[in-house]
Formats: sequence, C-alpha cells, structure tokens
Amino acid sequence: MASVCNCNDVSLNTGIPSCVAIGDITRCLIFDTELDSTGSVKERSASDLESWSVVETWLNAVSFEDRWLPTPELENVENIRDEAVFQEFNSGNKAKVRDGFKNFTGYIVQAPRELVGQLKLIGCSDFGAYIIDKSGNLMGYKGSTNTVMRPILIDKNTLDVQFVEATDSEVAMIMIKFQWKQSMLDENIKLISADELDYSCADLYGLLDVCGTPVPSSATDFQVTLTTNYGTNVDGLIAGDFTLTNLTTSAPIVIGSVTASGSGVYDFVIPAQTTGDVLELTASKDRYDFDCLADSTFIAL
Amino acid sequence: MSWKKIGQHEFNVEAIKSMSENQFKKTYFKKLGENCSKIYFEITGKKKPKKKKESNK
Repeated sequence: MASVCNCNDVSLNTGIPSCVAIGDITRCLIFDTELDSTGSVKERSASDLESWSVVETWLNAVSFEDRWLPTPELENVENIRDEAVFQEFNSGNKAKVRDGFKNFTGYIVQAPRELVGQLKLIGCSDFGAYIIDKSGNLMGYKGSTNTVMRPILIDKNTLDVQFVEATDSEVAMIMIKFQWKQSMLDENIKLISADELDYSCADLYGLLDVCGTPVPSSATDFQVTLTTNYGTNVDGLIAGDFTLTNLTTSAPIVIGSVTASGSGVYDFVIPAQTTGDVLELTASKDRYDFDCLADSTFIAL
Repeated sequence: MSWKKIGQHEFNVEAIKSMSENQFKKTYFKKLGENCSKIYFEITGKKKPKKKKESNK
C-alpha cells in the first residue's frame, strides 16, 4: 500500500458519524466534460448542484463543454471494482501492486438507436459523470475546496455503447459500459443528500438536435420544416424563438411574421434582401439545440 | 420586439407598423385573403381612414 502512505503524516482515526449517507445504486448518470468552454477545469459549487434553477441552465448551455448531459434512468447497473493486483513471491508472501479498476455497466431500456451515436460522441472529449442514485442522492468527486465538486472522471478510451436488440424474452436496450479513471479514489467521492436537492433524475433532460433547411419561395418568403435527429417534428416554437441573419452583410434581419402552417412547418415573411446574399436562420428554446439548423444557410432570391 | 398572434400567424408589430396598408396587402394577401386590411389595422392599432362622403350640391 505504498501509494497511500505518507511518512510525514501519522494522523489516523477510524471514527464514523452515527448517521451518514453513503449512496445507493445508480439511477442515472450526468455526463460532464472535464474542462469548460474556456479550457478551465470544471468545478461546480455544491449550492448550485442543489438548485434546479441553476441545473436547468446547465442542461441548456449553449456550448457542449458547459452543458450537463444526463442519461435516461438506468437498469441493471453494476459499478464494481476489480480485485486488487498482487505480486506473489516464491516464499508465498504477497505484496499489493495496485487497486483494481472500477467498471460501470448500465442499460437504458427501450431507447432509440440514434442515442447510441450521441453517447459515443461524449467519448471524444475528456469527461466524467455525476451520479444520482436510487435514493436521489447526488455523487461527484472532491473538488479543490469543500464547497465544490467535479465529475468523477472516466477513461474515455474505455467507453463502450451498444444497442442491444430485443429478443423473445427481452426488450431492446442501450448498454453503456466504461471504466472510471484509475486516479478516482472511492474515498474522494462526495455526496449531496437527496434532501438538499430540489430535483431528481426524472426532472433532468438532454437536448434534442433540430435540423431543417429553409427553402425560399420568393424574395420575401421562405419555409422551413424542423425535425429532430429522431425524425420527429418540432412544434410549439413561437416567432420570438427565431433569429435571422444576413451573413453576407453580417446584419440581423427583422422577421415580419412567422406562421406555423403544419406540424414542424414554419412560414416566414421577411424584407427582401439582395439576391444571392447568404442567410442564416437559427432559434433558441429550452430542450432543443439548433446548431444543425444554423448550419443550413440559404440564398436570398 | 413585440409579436401579435392572429390564428396561426405571429406578426412583428413594429415591422408591420412600418408598412403602409398597401404594402401589407401586397405582402400578405396570399396568406390572409380578404381579411388582410382588417388584420393590418388590428396589428397596427391605426384607424382605418373613413371614406369621404360625396357632397350634395
């Protein structure tokens, strides 16, 4: 156990409080990148982590690096550390070489295949996860002070996400499997009691990607059909959610009117622009990510 | 920016106010049909000019 021993510090006590929450089986994970959009190590204050009004801004953060990425509720979770590795000598004595790796496996029940691709993309960044357990407690990793927490870091090379097809006896599921980073010590996992949180796994949501290609029909009219990456239509947007920009002149365009003319279909009337100018339509609304829509620029007639 | 909803249409009030009734009709007649003028005055809050009575000589 040489790795935990400090020859200058002999202070050691084994008392424990009479009532202390230690956490329960995982109900959902909240993926979070290690660094924020400015490149700084991401630490979140305990008081923010307890507050739904703050958490909801993280769920809808513009930048992926600042966003919280919750999974749906998980089933058949296993979060088990492998056995420690020992060296055995000819005499029969043993010496501990290192702790075993801790492996996580969980299943999202009856989730669509498209989610597999989204979850795989998380592994493109250095990332970790917070855990909300069956009792509603939140667990994260010890931060630089007692009032902040970090995600429990995951070895991104070990992330494995697979769609498990339905059988005669089992429903379709998505399996998530990974190994926590070896530097993540169980003794540094911190817990915020469910009593302190004003939200649960059921309140958390991931964003839906929205795509659509605006199609102009005249100098002053265009139409767009908005669909999610799951192929569902996006209804319920209002005029104030949309922003239109002339990229050629870098000038915002004042939208005259928006008409919801069908499921996911929106008709726009705008002032005529110079023919050939490149226009960009985007939108902003909680629960949706409109980056894909903004990528589909169109040409003014 | 304020918006006024009429049926499935949401109009930018300031943008419509900056248009004349004729400009509005030219832009929106296809969408709104015969109600075009009525909707224009509803959005802008402007009063429809009364037709001059023919004077009896």
